Amino acid sequence: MANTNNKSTDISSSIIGSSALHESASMHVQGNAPYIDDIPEPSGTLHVAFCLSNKAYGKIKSIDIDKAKKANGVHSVLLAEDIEHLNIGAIRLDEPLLADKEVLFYGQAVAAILADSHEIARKAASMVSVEIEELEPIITIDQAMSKKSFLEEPIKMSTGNAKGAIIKATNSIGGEFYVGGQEHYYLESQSALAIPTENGELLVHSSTQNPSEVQHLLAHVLNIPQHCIEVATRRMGGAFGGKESDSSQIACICALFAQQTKLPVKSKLPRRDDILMTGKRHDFKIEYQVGFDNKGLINGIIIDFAARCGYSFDLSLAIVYRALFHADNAYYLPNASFCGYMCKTNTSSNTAFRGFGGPQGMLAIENIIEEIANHLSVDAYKIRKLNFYQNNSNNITPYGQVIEDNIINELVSEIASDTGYERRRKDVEEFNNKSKYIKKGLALTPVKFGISFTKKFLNQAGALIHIYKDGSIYLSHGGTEMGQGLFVKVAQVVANEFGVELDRVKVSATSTAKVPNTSATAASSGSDLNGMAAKDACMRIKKNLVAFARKRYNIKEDEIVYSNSHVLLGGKKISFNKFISSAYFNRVELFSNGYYKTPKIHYDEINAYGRPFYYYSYGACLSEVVVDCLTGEYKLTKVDILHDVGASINPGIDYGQIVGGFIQGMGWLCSEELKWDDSGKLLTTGASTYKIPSIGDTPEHFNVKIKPDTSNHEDTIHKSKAVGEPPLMLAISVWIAIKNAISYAEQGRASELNAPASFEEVFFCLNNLNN
Amino acid sequence: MHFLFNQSIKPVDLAGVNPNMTVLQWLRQNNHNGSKEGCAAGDCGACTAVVGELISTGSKVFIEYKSINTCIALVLNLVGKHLITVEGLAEGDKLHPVQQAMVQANGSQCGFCTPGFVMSLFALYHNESSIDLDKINESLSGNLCRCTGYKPIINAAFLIFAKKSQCHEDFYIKNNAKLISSLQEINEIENKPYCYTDKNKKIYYNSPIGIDQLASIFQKHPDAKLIAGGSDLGLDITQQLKEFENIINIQNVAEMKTIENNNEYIQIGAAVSYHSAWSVLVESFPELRSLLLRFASKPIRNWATIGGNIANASPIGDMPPVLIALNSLVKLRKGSNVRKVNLQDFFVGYRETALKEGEFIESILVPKLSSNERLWVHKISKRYEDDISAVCMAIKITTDDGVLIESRIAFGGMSDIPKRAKQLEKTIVSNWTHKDLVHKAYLALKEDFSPIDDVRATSEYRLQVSARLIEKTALNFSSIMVPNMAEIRHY
Repeated sequence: MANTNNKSTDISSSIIGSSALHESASMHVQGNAPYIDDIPEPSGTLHVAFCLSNKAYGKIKSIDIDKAKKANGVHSVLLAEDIEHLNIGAIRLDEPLLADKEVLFYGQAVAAILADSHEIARKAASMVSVEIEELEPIITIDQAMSKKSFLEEPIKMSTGNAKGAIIKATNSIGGEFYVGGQEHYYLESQSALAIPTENGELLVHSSTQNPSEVQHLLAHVLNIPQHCIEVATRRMGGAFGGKESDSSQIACICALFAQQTKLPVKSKLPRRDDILMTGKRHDFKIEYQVGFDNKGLINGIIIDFAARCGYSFDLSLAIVYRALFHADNAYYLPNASFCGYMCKTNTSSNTAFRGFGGPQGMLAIENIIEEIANHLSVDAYKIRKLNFYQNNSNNITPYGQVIEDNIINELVSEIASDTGYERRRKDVEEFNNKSKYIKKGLALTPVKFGISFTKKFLNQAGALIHIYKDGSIYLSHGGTEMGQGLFVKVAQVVANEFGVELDRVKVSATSTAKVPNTSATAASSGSDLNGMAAKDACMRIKKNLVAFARKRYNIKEDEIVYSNSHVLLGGKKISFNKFISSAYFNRVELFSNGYYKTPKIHYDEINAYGRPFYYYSYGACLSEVVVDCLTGEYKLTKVDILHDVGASINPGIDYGQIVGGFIQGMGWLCSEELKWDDSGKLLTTGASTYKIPSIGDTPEHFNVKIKPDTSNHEDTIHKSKAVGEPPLMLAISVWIAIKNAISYAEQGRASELNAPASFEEVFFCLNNLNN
Repeated sequence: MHFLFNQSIKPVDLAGVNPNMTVLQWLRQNNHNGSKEGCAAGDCGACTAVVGELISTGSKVFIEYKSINTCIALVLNLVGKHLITVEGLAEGDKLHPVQQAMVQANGSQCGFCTPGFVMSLFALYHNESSIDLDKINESLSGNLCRCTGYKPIINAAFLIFAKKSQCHEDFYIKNNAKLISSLQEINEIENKPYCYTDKNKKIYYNSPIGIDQLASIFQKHPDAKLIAGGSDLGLDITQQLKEFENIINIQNVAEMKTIENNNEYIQIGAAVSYHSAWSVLVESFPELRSLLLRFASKPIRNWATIGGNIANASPIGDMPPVLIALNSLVKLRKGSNVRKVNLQDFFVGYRETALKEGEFIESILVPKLSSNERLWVHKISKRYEDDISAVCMAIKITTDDGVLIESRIAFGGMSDIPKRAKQLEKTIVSNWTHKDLVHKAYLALKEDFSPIDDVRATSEYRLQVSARLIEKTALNFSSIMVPNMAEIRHY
């Protein structure tokens, strides 16, 4: 962007691209970074707990709340019948705050208890008895598919003639596999604190990625205008998509009670309740047919995706779309037909989770590539390279977007040569030839991930910057901090604009009272959108300052330079503080909003055609595993990653996102297994049964490299790229490596591997004593 | 009823607290909000703190610092000890070296798990003079992080020790002598029975210091809950919302904290923690090391007892199968009567034991292996660290001139109690070197057990993987080493 207002040098150039620390790091390590449960409770604060359904589907015959109501310390019990505007939802208002006449999933909130303390509320919740006339639930994807239980008509995306191409192809194979869901397991469970202020107005602290949506739904439920409600989010103890839409219910219930009692009301879900009540990553059943030539070039492909969405609409449509958008991953598919089914089931409503359907789509094509390789008995790496998108031809996605920034060929070649891929493959083969009980597996898989909300209107953001008389800067923007380091990145952008040290920029808690109508901090878009909006706000303030300086110091615009907390004004150098103070006394407006909307994007949903993504982020990962063929146990021994973040604003933060995203993705595909019983009761409701990765799962050989000397093809904030979601999909290489190891085993049936590749899952692909 | 808290010199008085209160509840009710609640079940470690305990060995008196899950530990268990939380590390504006390293290495993202990691690292800092990846993994095995992928935290741990020699001494090292004498002072306070009264309910709490005292109190109050480490009982309070009316803390019963080690057997007092029993167990049975490393997590091992692991009679406890395979006995006491029961007969039904009313486990007698005996233990779980077994198998064999003549095999996770596989024992004696051992083992296992399908594994996996573990053991016996995946980092 041409800098018309001024120049910023020295500090500026070192701030962008420096590994400035997370703005709360020092507070985190001292335990004094407050989360909602840590905010000193205003006097009189009451607490909420929920009574949950213990049936997956049925009619509510009666709810007995007498005992709970009479318990010591209980103030009141709320039921659906007490709530006038009962339904909320991210897209459709189809989620009752409390179950109304029927329960639709095991763990659905039926009653809310208000009491003096969290413990009393919980105990009282267990005293509520709900009589339910059970109906036959639809729990699994297969059940939903056979009963045609869908939220919406299937969605389709196609290019060329897939069916014809498969028929004509020299080889064709087909198959199906299952990809499990994933519990977010953010360490801080859903929380809210609603504080009545005056005249029916409320301040609501919500652990949410989406303060504006919480505000919007509160206004709806409380039946008051949005300007009566301020929703504030200072920080979340993790979110990963799980606080994009699922944070509203608890905030609404707290606010309803606060409105009734005129007292502050707080709730933090016990872990079990959180896991039962809220949605997860969608699990998918994937069926495919693919036709290819003898070298493995894909001629035609058909993939059907059936996603378990749960009982309500939530964000499922966009999630299933994103699965289809990523079913090509980095491969040119001239004849492709993808179809997505949104299965409506009696389970909690599945929701956003880092990658948002993309990972499932990508896993589908990577699995297919591996199957082609196994069919042709060649190294899958060759098949991958053969099918990669190219730069001047073979560069149109099945949804019509021309890929203009493709670096996958060079990126994958770079990691292959850095890691000595060919030698590693040979080593693995030699080892496996000699080893009967232990097999190694190796996989190098690419990631191409589309950046932008696929709903165009969400791609906008606002910021508000104040420079106070003492030269300190207060930055507000619409993005929320959930650990990803957004606040420090946007602060770096602002410090850079004014050539000041980072400490001078204070980032405020995200608040609907400061920046309105924001989008969720999601889709990896946080720094792209809010960084640009903040920069715009800086530019507007600088414009005011230029006008002032030109007159006051009789200089030209390009003679103003912000540097090292000073301002060079022609030949004169004064401190930034003095400059600001002088501007104030000369009546210069020292605050401004800023605004940004992503350019170039458009998408026609009906024809599944357009340019939904502003750009793509790329990466590749080489994983090596060793599998015990007797027990199905395995260990991830080596990981090498090369990832593209454009010109990084903060490599330290980006490194953390890559490493953390990878391990989270590995958990999804390896040890994290959600299990329901036949009646639809979720069995994995805590850390003792739902196993997210622990420290020993992090491989010792774990080389992560940010692709050097690179830059975003598009004009993003300082030419950086989004980093939140894409690295999660690097972990697909772990699952593929396990599959690869199985394929080396004598009787291995690699095609049968589903995700997650639990030890049991791997075991039965290797062994069956009943056969 | 006093304990030391962080850098405060004045002991905290716990008079008036409900004996059911956990340490975390106490902390947060008193506005010490640094320790977080992530799971309230001892699984995630966000609430981790460190407890300093006075240890006297002969003339040597020192403070041992151990990490603890405050969410499931009862606050009254802190009496006479020193509780250190994340708020107690920095001195004024100066961060503790552990905190500095975590900041420098980008060890926090969302920050919610961070206080727990900091405290586990603080315990590591106090307990080790040098570091390697095994020690780091072991000490942080009870801390879950969902953001960082752990790598930055591992980097932070290395950083702490890379700089340790140049670092300033922390408050607790500087004030060691003062803290020892403070702890001695509050330990001299007599252990009196305690009764908590709230409106119309009374809750009794006793912390006897001698076994006779315990025996007589328990005989008088056979309904009382005995608690040692509390790592299982704490869950009843935080997850089942139970409130116990009578609690007897056995953690301070001197006779039950001893270990006797001779050529024939080891006798372990029922209140001995895994932490304290570690060295004698691993010395006597080196094969146990890998299992013990996977036994729950570091903070649980610090406080949980072998006695508790037996008394709770869980079908999926990891130690009972091992102890049964080793033909261990439990010494039970009621009043002044003592009897010995073979551990295999101690478990009588799902979470039911042979204990009579008012009877408790005094100690466990573990016979040592003779020169012609060998032991193997295998654990199958979904995750290597801090996970409950789908199957835990312990196998002891006796050989004569290199030929297997007898076996004793016990399983956890295969039945409603920890149990021997008698058919399998017979089968392997006659088929140990048979090429189809695995199928024969499988058929025998099907006679021995009808395991359940549950969240950890299907019945079929439990049966089949057990047969494969027998095969793996036999391979190992014939010197074909198939490595334990849990133990390898590179291969």
